[in-house]
Amino acid sequence: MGLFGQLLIRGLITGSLYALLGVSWGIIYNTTRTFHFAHGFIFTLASYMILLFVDLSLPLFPSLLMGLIVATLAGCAIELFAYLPMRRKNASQLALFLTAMGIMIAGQSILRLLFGPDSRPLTGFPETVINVGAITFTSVDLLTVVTAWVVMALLFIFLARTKAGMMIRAVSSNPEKATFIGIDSSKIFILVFGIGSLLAAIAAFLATLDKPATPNIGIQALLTAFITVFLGGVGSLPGTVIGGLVLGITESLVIMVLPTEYKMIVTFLILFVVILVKPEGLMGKKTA
Amino acid sequence: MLLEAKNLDVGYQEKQVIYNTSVHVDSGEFVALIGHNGAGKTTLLKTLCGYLKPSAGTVIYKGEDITAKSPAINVKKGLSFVHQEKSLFPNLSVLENLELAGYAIGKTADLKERLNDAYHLFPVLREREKQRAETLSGGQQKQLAVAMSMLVRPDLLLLDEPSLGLSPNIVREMGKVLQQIQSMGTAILLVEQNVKMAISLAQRIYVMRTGQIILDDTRENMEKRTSLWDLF
Amino acid sequence: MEYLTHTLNLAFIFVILTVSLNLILGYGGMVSMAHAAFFCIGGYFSAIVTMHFGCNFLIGIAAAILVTAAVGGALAAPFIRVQEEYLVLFTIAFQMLVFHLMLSLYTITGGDSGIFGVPGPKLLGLAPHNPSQFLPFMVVFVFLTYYVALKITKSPFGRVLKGIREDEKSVISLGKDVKKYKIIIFMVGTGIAAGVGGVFAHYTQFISPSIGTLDESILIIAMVVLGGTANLWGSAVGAFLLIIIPEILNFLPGASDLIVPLRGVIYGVLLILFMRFRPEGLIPEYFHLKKSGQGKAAAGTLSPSASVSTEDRSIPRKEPARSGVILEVKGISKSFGGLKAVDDFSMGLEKSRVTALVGPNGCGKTTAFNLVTGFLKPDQGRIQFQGKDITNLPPYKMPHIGIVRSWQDVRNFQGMTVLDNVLIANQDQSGERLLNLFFMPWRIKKEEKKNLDKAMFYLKQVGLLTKRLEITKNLSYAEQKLLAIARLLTTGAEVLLLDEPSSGVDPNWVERFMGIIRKLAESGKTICIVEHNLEVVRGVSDTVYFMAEGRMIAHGSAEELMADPKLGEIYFGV
Repeated sequence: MGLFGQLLIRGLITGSLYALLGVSWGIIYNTTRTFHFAHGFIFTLASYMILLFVDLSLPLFPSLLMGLIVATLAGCAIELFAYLPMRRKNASQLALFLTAMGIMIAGQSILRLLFGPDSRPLTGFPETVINVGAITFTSVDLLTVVTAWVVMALLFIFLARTKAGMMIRAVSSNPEKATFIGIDSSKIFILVFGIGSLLAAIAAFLATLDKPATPNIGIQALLTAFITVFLGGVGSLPGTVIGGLVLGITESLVIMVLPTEYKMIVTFLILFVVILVKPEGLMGKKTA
Repeated sequence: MLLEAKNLDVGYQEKQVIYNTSVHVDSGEFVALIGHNGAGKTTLLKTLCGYLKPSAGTVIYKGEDITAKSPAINVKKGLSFVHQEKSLFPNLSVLENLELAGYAIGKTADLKERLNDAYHLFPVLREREKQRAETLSGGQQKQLAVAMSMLVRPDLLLLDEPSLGLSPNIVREMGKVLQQIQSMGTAILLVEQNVKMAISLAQRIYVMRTGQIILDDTRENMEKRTSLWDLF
Repeated sequence: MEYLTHTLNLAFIFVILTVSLNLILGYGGMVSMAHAAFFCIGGYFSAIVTMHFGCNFLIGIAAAILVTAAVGGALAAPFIRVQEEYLVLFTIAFQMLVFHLMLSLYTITGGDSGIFGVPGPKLLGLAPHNPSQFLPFMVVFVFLTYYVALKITKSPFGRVLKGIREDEKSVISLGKDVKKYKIIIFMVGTGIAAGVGGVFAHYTQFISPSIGTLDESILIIAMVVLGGTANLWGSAVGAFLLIIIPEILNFLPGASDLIVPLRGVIYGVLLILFMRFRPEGLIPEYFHLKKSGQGKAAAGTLSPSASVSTEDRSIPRKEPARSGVILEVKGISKSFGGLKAVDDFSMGLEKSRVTALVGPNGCGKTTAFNLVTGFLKPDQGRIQFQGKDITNLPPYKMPHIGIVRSWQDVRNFQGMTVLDNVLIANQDQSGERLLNLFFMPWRIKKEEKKNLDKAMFYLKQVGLLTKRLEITKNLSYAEQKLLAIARLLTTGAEVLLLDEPSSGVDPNWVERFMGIIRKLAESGKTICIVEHNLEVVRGVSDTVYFMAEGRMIAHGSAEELMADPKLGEIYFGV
């Protein structure tokens, strides 16, 4: 029970982060149907921006804020200057996807040129170990869980209770009708990219507190986000949250059976099984 | 004339669907548009409300040329359209759907009053205010769609097959509500597959076939016809 | 000098990689993010096999090709039937999985440091020791790759691939098993990638996971896209450019450790720019075909000879009324969720007759039509054709046994020529099987000649012969409908199931089209139409089935049915 409990808690911790990541990408995909590959770059960018400001002797919290601002603006800029003009020209889904990929590699490479390939840890947050009964975790873990859930809760409240949130849900729900009644979907798209990027930046901050940043963290985060969304069901943000938790817990419990290098294999197999058995995801709806 | 469309040619890429078609609706008039599936009725409605751009011809509303102006702009002028399908926001609640319907006319002081008018027409919607639109029955969803279009207090309502998929009772109810709407001063152009009902409600009937209007007649004459088959 | 030759060899390796991915991406329409993984697997496999068994490098390469192709096929098979996004996701995951495996399976793969001392190439006494000596080998490999790729893409097999890229359902309705084609081309592409991976391993005598990263996969995609998808010569250009440009950077002082990220910036920016301003790549697919001067012709401009003539000997004259039901639908039902769309529906199609299926909106006739054409499977009931049970026959097998369907929205392949659209409709083309392509080319040539004659014949019938080299999207809508008919006739099927044949037809030409349908029936075809336009139904049908709420309510001649007041109530409401 001791090991199982420990691993379960660990799974819930990583699962919470995965859920946040998934939601950050999922909200963009659900509303705009864009396979925003460059989201991984936003993640990496946020991480490095925070590190940059810390290196410039700014305290942790203001650095965090700067990182969030830069990442959010970058996400909006990508939509405004890259995707939007292409959608106006009726570009194919493949073309959009490849553009996103281009931004991803170019962006990641620029970061690597500027900051070098070595890993950079983020310091400045008091790291203490906490023991609750037989379960051990750190203050960073606690921060991760609390932040992830608070942010996701705020997002859901925003979507459910504000006018802007309602318009976002309208566009996700029936984009044609939304345009019909006069909603400017380009503005909504930019808003959604902003929100998604902000959430990704928060996730990047939490992830970097835990593990040092390298130029490649974006792609791993991206893959996790994809899997979480498709696992939980495209179009359902609650599903994505559940997907994140399921992924986190499964990955963690697998360590009881297999050595840690095989984590990727497990992720891969989960994806494989889900797509074969229930392609619309855990909470997704079958489209005829 | 409230609405006048002249010599419309409408098509999708290479495929022309409407050939040199003209229709008109007078203020407060109830006009029905019937014809076989694929004759171009929905396309015609979509062109009248501005959603589609004709390759030829004009649409004039209240004396103004509104050809291919966006539907949202036309809604502000009092021209409202109810789609045949996907006319709602399924994940949103009934109340949210109605609130969004008023989006085009912006913030109005009398939103509450307008909502009340909508609930007056369709009382069942008030009961289900907080429910997600997709959980409503087919008939209730149609009612919600019509209620949404009425929120802007239109002078002309374009309806695309509101009775589709509904049981005869509900269809009759819908018919009564439409008459109510007409009595409030709104002109109606109704596309309907339930031909008998359409004829009983309308003052004038257009028949469309293969992209053209083949008949424009009064209700009295239509009711005298021995067979409707040769119109389809 | 050696350095330049080495770069040249590397460029050639990437040319082969790019061509092989182009087959999957450009021709097969599948976005694979795992191409570098297959390259890597091939390299490792060949290295390990040759080192373990001491065999010649060519055998190692051959083994790598076969094994990897098999793995590729096994992976692709389950994902072919789900949406594109899943394949992308899956290949990304697979790519990263392979990379991790190469790193972790230390004992087999040497982990991070890779495998040194891979045996160099040896053939007939030749053992190249430096890049210049290896160059001729490289050229031969490139030549082989192009031979295989061109052979495939310029064949009937390649023609089907082109169709799949545009409209899979349409290809299925013409009798091709789309899944099989996609899996095969995926296997060919990954096999070639593995093969050149082996070449790379033996050439550099070293293999490590660094060549099998996601970045490398993206690089290869960039090369395909730059050179132009579905353009094999463009792939060479794309590969050369993306290899040479960064190598030039090598000459800049201090640039060597920045090479990798600099390359990334260049590739990324090029991808962005090309997708924005020139998505078709440097060399578009049809640049060598002159665009015909005619633009979009107005609707209704059919050529005067547009009708199906029964004068020609190949279509038999009207035979004495040899009626008899050849296609029988017995009590089929289909539910979606709780809704019964089709309920115990029965129908019989008589030879040489036109049967129409009508009913009010939502009566289930479209569902019934899809059940009969095989695009949906019935929950209950049977469908029999000439005595054989075809209830669960997959739709792509229908044309083969003699049943073919048309589409309401036509679904011709807009990017192909009119002639190709018709050629693809031929059934059982031996040129569609890869083995035949390489081992029995003479048979294919003969068959292509026959197919060409047949295609020209039917094009002449519908009056489109003069436009046979026209790109289909330049045709008017009426011409597209005629092309669709030519395609149906080319399949040789005797049962034609037409989905709203009068849809989109200019009112002036409705009579002409009705005439065409009647003539087809008189020439021996059995026809079933789903129609809303009752004028057409009255004009062409011998028997009408009336459906309401999923059930067959009545059948008989059009006159009989339209005289029935009860049916009038159902159709027009009360």
